Amino acid sequence: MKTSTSVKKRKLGSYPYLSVVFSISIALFVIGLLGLLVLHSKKLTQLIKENIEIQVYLKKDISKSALTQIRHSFEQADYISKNKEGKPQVVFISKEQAAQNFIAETGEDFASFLGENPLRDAFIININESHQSEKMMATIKERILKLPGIFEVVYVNDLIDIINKNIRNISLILASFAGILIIVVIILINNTIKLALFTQRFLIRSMQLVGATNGFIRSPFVLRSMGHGLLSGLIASSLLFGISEYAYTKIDDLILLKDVNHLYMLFGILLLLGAFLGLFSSLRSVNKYLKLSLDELY
Amino acid sequence: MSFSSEPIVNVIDASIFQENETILSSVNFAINKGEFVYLVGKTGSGKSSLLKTFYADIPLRLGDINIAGYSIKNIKPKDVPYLRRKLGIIFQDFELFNDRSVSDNLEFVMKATGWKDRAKIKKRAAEVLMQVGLGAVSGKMPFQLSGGEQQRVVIARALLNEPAILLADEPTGNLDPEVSQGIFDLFKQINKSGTAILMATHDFKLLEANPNRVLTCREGKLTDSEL
Repeated sequence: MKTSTSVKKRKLGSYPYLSVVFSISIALFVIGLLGLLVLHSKKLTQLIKENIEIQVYLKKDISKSALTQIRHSFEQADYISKNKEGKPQVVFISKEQAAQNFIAETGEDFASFLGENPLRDAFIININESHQSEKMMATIKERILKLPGIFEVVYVNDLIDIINKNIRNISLILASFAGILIIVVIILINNTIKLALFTQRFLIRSMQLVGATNGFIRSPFVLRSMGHGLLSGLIASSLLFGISEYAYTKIDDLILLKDVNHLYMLFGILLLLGAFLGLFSSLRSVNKYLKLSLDELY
Repeated sequence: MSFSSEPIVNVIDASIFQENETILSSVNFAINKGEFVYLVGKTGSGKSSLLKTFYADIPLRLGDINIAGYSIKNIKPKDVPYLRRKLGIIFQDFELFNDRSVSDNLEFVMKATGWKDRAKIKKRAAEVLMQVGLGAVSGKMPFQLSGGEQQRVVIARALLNEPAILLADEPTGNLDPEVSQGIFDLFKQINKSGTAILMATHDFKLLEANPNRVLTCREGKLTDSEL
């Protein structure tokens, strides 16, 4: 009798949770990875966009008054980005200055063997975000070329578009992957709870007979599953944290894209998402099976 | 609200179904407070189905049944638990849990029906055990008790929420005659304190020894000994 007195009490709402926690963690991890990618790429585009510039080279024989006129028209233009003090970001670099810069960078004094300075006076203007699409950049170029005294207009073509396109593709893949994983998680929780309800059907049946409300029967399942969702969120967040910290030390300049506040926000979202996923899918399956007579489950 | 003047059970032209077949039709009867009523009939005659309809385990499709202040016909799913708390159900497929002690069995039911206060739970468990004549078994496991003692615990469990009526399906089914009489005496004692009892049974010896009103299920009809 001694062995049988130590029968383990069956507890309502328990279920084999290892696979559940594991799969929610993986799903959240992929979602988090997507989040990290989006965060970093957003920061990257922001950094690039702040530095999108057009170089405007001027004709050699340009007059002082024409120069002032060009500067003036840049300063009035709607495509020029403004700095924090609200001043339009227009910089003039004279050919002498450009030569000095060139010599300082390369160490070669070309003037000594060319005899003259081949460089041109130039304006460097920064373009604000709303005018950075490929099409608009082309229009701006047209507009500038119409000004008198302009020799050439140069800008780095569609860099942002390329980055955006790549990020969109990767996001799409990750998002669909995450979507599939979420469906897998919901199905897995559904089956796990179905099995748990079946093994506990006598317990549940008794509770129903004495007049336990469905809410009372439901709550242990739902609370447990929510807890497991939270735990999975924690696991996924720590994994992502570890990976991103490692990446910062290994990939040069990646740290420039680090945004701690957004990172913590992402982890918070993963925790909530985990809890919600647990709550939603367990609630759904418990409700579904409590409506059936429990003997009908199999 | 008081239902003292109204019958506890009032069945009006009800049809009882088993799966999709009518097993009893045009059933009419009432049970008043403090009544003791037998329900007899062959296996499959509809006794259990009738009782199950009472506690809304089987839907009532035709007619109406009023029980403990609830109309079974229109009862909402969320009200079913509260109806059941007013009924003491002693049923074949509702055994004690062998994985927990007698007092844990009782506490489980109380917690499931909204009891919160630990002290009150302990007190009530002790009360019902005293009521069924088992003062000293609360720490024992069900399998350490005799069949008669187990059945007493089952009755104690049904009494926890002070039901207006006990619905008992073959409560003496697997017990020898002497023990059966003991259990029956317990029912009588509970009945004396004002709880109505509807007992389905096969035990005709018990019936003869303790005559009461008898409802008989036979060939799709229910007949009442008092009509």
